[in-house]
Amino acid sequence: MELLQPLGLVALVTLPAIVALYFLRQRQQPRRVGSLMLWAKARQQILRGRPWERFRPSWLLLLQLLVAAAIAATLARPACVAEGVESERLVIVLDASASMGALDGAPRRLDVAIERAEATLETAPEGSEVALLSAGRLTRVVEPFTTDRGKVRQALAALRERGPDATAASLKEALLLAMQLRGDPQEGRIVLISDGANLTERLPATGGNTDFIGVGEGDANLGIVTFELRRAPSQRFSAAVVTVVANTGSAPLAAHLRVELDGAPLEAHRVELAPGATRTVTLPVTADQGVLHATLEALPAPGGGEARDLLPLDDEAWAVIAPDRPLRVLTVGANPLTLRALQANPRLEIEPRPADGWTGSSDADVVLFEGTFPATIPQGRFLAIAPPPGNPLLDYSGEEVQAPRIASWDRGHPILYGLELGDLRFGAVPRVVPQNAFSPLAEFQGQGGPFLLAARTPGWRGVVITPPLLASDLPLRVAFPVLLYNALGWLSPGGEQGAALTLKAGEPLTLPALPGDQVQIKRPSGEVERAEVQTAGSDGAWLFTDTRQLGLTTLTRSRPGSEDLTLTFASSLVDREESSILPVAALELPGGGELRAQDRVARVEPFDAPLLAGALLLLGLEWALFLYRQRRQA
Amino acid sequence: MTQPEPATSLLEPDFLRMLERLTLQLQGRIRGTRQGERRSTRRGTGVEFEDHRAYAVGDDLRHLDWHLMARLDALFVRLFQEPQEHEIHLVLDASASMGCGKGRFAQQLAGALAYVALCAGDRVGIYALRDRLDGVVGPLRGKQAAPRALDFLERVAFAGETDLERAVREVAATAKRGTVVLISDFLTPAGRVEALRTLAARRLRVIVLHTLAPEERSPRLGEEVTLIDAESGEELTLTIDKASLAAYHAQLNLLTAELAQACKGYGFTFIPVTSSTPVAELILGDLRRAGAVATLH
Repeated sequence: MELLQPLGLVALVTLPAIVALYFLRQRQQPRRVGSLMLWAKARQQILRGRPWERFRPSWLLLLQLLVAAAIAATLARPACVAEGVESERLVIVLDASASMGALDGAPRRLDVAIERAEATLETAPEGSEVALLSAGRLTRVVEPFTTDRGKVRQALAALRERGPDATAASLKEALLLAMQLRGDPQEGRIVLISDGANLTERLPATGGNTDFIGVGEGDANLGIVTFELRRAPSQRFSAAVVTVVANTGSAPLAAHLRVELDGAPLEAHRVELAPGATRTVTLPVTADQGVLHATLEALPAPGGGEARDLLPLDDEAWAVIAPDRPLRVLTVGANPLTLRALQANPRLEIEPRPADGWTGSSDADVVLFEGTFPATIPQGRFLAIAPPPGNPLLDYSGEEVQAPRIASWDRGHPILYGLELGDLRFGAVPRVVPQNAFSPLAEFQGQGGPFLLAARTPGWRGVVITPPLLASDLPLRVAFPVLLYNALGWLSPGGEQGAALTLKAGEPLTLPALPGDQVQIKRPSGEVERAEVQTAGSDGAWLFTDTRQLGLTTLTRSRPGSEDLTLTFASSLVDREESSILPVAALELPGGGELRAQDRVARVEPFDAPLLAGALLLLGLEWALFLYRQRRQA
Repeated sequence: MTQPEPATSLLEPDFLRMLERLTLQLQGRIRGTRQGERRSTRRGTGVEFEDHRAYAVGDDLRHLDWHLMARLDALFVRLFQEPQEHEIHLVLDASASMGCGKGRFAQQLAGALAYVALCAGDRVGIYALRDRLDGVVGPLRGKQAAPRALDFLERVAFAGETDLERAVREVAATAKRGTVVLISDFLTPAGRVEALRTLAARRLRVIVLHTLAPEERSPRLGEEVTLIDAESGEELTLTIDKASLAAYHAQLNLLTAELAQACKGYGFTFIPVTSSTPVAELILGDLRRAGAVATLH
């Protein structure tokens, strides 16, 4: 039994109040007697040697106390808790995030969660519809509503086989989807099975009829939360691998950290960390390609404790040092100053063409148009400098702005990172209005219009520098080649990842591909799959999203008449939040509500109504007894 | 020719007729002042032979026993018991306490005894007591005085406080001989035994009818009540539970024992009376068993 409104028990203070009133002794029905002589003497005899009034059992008092207790209990809304669900429409949401891989269950939290899901399934009424959702990298409907429990059991077995995703999960998204599936809260029930660890998002109000089955017990975990190769842009042949180890538990822990490059040890030493502490290890790397691998092996804790490290998923991390492939840039109509700036960068492979040299398509990673632009926006990536009037990017008003200054620019954008544009000088520049999806990154003062625009759509990605270069001193500035390199870096597929193809598990990877290209995927487990690049959503790159498996994945792009492109990337958990595996006792809901963790689905059956009826009955009985006594005394 | 029964609401005519066959039984010879129907200690002109004594000059020659003179050759006069009327003093406690459940009963009991006494030819005085002697009627004689007696009793109002000792002293100043029938609850904090002592000092014959209401003898258990003293107006709130009831009974027994002991010591007749008992049953039962009332033969 539990109390749905424990505050209602405050009403129990009426019990001592009633007893106190009883002892105060109210004036009863007066009765005239011949003399009090005998009574007074009798009373003296009784009270002799007794300093206080003796408690006399009274049916009225007993009934009054029972009524008050029953009303207090009613206010507290007592409820019977029975195992099982009563709903005929049940949505089970299973947390499959990385923390569910912690080994404090049987053996994993996920296994416990699946057992509890199966137990929930067993207690559901016969013929009820059950849906199964998995909240991992994505929220998936593993099994839509079905009355066939065998299917749900099979789906649970498949989830057990698949294991937890090495990523964070969005319980909010999962609950929203579950609420949509459930429909009216009165007609269905959501059972969320999770450890609730590292929950940072606000959960939606579920509208009741939701259970939270908690799993997990411990929080001892030492994990690799960062493992990446960092290369300074100016130091092409100098790089360092940065490893950050964190103790996310509540007790001091120790582990053996080992970092290898292609199997050869780079570093190995013992790491001891206090609760919440981190240790950063930076190692220089001179190789221009290879695979870095870091491992943590739990050691007995400082002070002689046993070796404990509950989450194995964050005990390994990988980083790929990719071969430096030059970026292929096709220039159409570029002026010598632009070409010179591009050619100064050895990582660029330039193919210059005249202004009329555009054929409608290109294999280049990026196409640079200067003083010219096709009538329609080409698919892929482009950088347009001073596109002429009539282009689909800008609308020319015909006016010119004399000697404008750039008044504002987005210093945080990757294209403008580290640039100072405020002292650029301009002659007369045309006033333009951006078209399509372009948004300004830098603007002239007043009504001068934009200087720099960028847009990203499913079919293309583009950057536009609006004024002619020769109308300013920009080509003469150091900022000019930096602006070009930044723009090409933002435009090129995979450009944001840098030299090391190191991903957090679940992060998408872009592969240069066109619709119709075939891609072979070799997963860390050795499993090989094939996929075809779809037309929809292609902007010259194929977005590979299934990066949940930890380790090295190799993608091989095949295109008829073209050389195969092979890309190997690494997926690691490296997520400090997900390395925090402390389970929660309750999930907070909007409006001050919460879902308390339970071991099993409980069917709560309030019985405040019968209790209230009992209280009223007792009250009636008390009233009747009172009247009866009044009458008898009268 | 028989006289009709007095018209009164206090006693039923049938009951009155039954009472006419009764008499207050007096142990020993009475000492009266006037000639009546009771055997007395006074020798005189009665018809019932008592004794002889030697003739003295001045004796009534009609009482000379000629037979003795013939046999003994000496003069003796015959002595006779002189029948005298007896004085009955009916003393009724008319304080407020008597009005609580026993007033009417006390009026009826006193009326019945007065009627018996009047029918038996006794002189009857009726006294109403409160903190002092508050009303008197009598002496009354003969059955024809019964309406007056009953009327007086009917008009007795039970009110005021009791000072039994003082009131009885005033009664005793009036009632110098005869029998005192004292009807009271004796629920007075003081002066109970002193009142009886006063009567004993007058060498009066006394019948004490200790009259209590049924609820005074056996209060109901389990009541939450505020008791109000009929005389003083004082209040006492209590729960009549087993313990308090036992203590009350103990006090009542103490009171009864005190009165019984005093009556026994003074040679009085002590009869506890409950007001729920029908008066006829009381007179023919308890009072007859106690020897206070007898049937005329």
